[in-house]
Amino acid sequence: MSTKKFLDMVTYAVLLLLSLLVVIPFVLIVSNIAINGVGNLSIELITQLPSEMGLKGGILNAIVGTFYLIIIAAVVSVPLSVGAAIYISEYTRSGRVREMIEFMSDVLSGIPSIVFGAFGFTFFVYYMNMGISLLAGALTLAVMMIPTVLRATEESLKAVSRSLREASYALGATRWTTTWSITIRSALPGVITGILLAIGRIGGETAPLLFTAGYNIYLPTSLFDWTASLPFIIFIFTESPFPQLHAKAFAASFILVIMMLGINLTTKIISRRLSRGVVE
Amino acid sequence: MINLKTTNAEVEFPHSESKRVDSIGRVGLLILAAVCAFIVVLIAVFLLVESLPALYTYGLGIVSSTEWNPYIDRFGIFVFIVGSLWVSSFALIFALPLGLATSIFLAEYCPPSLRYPLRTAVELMAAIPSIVYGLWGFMVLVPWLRYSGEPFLRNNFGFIPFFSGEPQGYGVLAGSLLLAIMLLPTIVAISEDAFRMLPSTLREASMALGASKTETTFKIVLPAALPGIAAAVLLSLGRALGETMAVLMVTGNTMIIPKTLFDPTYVMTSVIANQLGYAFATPLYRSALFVVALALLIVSICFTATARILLRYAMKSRSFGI
Amino acid sequence: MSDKIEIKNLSAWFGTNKVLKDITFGIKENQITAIMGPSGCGKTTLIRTINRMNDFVDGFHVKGEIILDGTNIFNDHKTDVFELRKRVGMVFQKPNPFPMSIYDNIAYGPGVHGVSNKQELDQIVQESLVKAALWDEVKDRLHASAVSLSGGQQQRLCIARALSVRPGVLLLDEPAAYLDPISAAKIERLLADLKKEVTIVLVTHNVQQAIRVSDCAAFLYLGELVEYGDTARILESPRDKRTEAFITGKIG
Repeated sequence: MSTKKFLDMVTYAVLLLLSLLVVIPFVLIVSNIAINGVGNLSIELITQLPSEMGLKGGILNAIVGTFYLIIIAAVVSVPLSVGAAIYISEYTRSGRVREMIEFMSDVLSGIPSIVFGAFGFTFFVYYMNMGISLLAGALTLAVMMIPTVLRATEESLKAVSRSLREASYALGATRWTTTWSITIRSALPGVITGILLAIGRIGGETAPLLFTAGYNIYLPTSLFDWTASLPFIIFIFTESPFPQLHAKAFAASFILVIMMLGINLTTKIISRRLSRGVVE
Repeated sequence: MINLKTTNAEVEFPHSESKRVDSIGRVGLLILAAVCAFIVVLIAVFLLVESLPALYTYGLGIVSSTEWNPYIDRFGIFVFIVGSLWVSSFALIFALPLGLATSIFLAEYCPPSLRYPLRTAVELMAAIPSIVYGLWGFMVLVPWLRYSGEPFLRNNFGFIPFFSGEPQGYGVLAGSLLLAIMLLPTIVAISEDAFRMLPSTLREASMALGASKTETTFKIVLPAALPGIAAAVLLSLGRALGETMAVLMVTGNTMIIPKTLFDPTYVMTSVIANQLGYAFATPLYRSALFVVALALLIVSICFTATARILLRYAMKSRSFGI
Repeated sequence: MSDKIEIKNLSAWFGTNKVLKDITFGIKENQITAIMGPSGCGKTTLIRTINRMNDFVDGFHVKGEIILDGTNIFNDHKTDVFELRKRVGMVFQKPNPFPMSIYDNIAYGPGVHGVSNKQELDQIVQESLVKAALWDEVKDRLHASAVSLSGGQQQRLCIARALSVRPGVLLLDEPAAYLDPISAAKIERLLADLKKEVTIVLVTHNVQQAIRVSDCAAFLYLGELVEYGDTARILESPRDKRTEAFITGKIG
């Protein structure tokens, strides 16, 4: 065997090994969470509110809280992001406006989550007078969702072939009609993927909620009520000295991880279906 | 609608109503787009406004001062900056070789059957929330480091100054290791894209000259992908500096400038997370924390902008054609 | 004139798709042999088989022999494929210089085969650029990026790069396809000069180019070798109807 061929084989083996090494921590962490989490999972945990400072009862408050936060964040951010993406994709010629919004979007996605938390605290909680609330927390999360949904929508709109739009214009339709009847329809799977990805990003976030959403042993009764959330309780339970709370933290982590992995895998399935069924 | 009895020359445009919808729609969308663009400005403005009192009182000396004592109104953020740099730099040092190797494998060597599982595994790593990494770090990594990992390093490699501290579990090493794991997906994804972006004819030209796959990969492909890889490094560093929860739970949150990897430290994101709650009522204290937040914002904007430029340069210069 | 390369009963498949059907002919030394035919006839596949670039394609396999200087290139016991690619060079349809300096582009090949002496490399670089008729245009800016050259210059650079390892055979896959007529003409002229030292195999679908440049021609149609012989003879009095149809433009 020539030296070159031998070297090629060695390189392949080394790179393969290193790549498998990368996966090891992931497996370790997920299995640890799963093992410790599943053991503490119970119907009681997911259907009951906490009692005795969380030592007894369940974490329904956190589960529902996270659910509400995600819904409200999505309701606010999706129209904003999709609207902005449609604007730069369908209503402007390429150039300064598009560049600027894309740049802003990139910057937004790079901002640390604690900075969003600090911003949310000062802007939504104080300046806008919402107080620590479900709404303030959700709006902070909404802001974090914007770049992901915007980018995904923009990319999907780009992928819709020109000829489709042109066929519509050639029939005399306006831009508005074309966009909503034709273009968005084709881009829809991509947009949905973007929304799911964004939810995956913010659903597990703690820092933005630290000073904006508070904690509540009950379910929030209004937009301005305090609310618990899964990431938040994982944080405070882990930092507490009680093993029962540690156990709950693992269970909550397990639920959170299942949620996030589930969302992620769903987006993969949608994207795969997308790339298979594209008609040009 | 269009009157079929008229000739082409007389086609009317009765759509004045839909034209109006079109214009209103356009304005509506423009407003939405403007809001999105404006949000970054809003954030920057608010952070700046909140930072002003502390900046005004301490000047830029706040950045270089190491004294942080809220009780006597002494605010110097230098320790946090150094702490962040230590943890993030080592995270990158640990993550980069491994991440790069994996991306090279995925892009150049991986057999099709292994591609999907490997890529998916790496992507799923990014789906795990940082608080969960923090939980694992706190419950598993820190104790392990304290009783096994760090003593081992100290006993066998203690001659290296980085490994000569007192094993405590919490500290720079815990933070960087955890962060490194969290950075891997970003490094792998962006670097792999950088490799895939290169036209296949580049590799073919090299192989047609009789070069081996290894030579082609390391002498031609890797150098050509460098701008993209540099972007990956920058973006990862940015992410590392901005990571909050995981690092918060394992670095010990102690006001010291680390000298060894085993030392605990305090990073910028952690001090905000830990102290903004009580600081809020005290204007100067709160303002000092906002200076930290402002610093984080500025750093992240710079990294994002530079990475964008690098990626754009990579795309232009590598997809050569006539 | 002897055969530099003998192709004997060569058949090739991509999976179950047979793309080359029992091809036999010889490529004469120090001559320019044109391989012609309509799109999809297998001409690119054929030359990529000669330097075993198709080895990289999953599912590709061959039957038959290609004998280069007395040895069958498919015989892995006697042939080192990396050595093979040193002796048989290739220029691609679309110019593909490395994103490095002009000098580094040419020095790469020899470097890969063990040349590390700076003077030797300098000499090889100059020699290759002279043979590719590019030296005068770039001698003052050898360290400029190769990507900054014009299309025609880039392609000549690729020719110089292929020549840097001193191959005995040069395979060119429609090298002028992406070039303007003036650059194309420059390349045709340099090939005519090169053939004195190197055996040239030129894939082209341009009949006029084949007439201008080549000595022998092989006409492929749907993977089969339809005709082979002196270019002048084939193009003026083709023996096969299919050849004639191609020449007159009825099939393309």
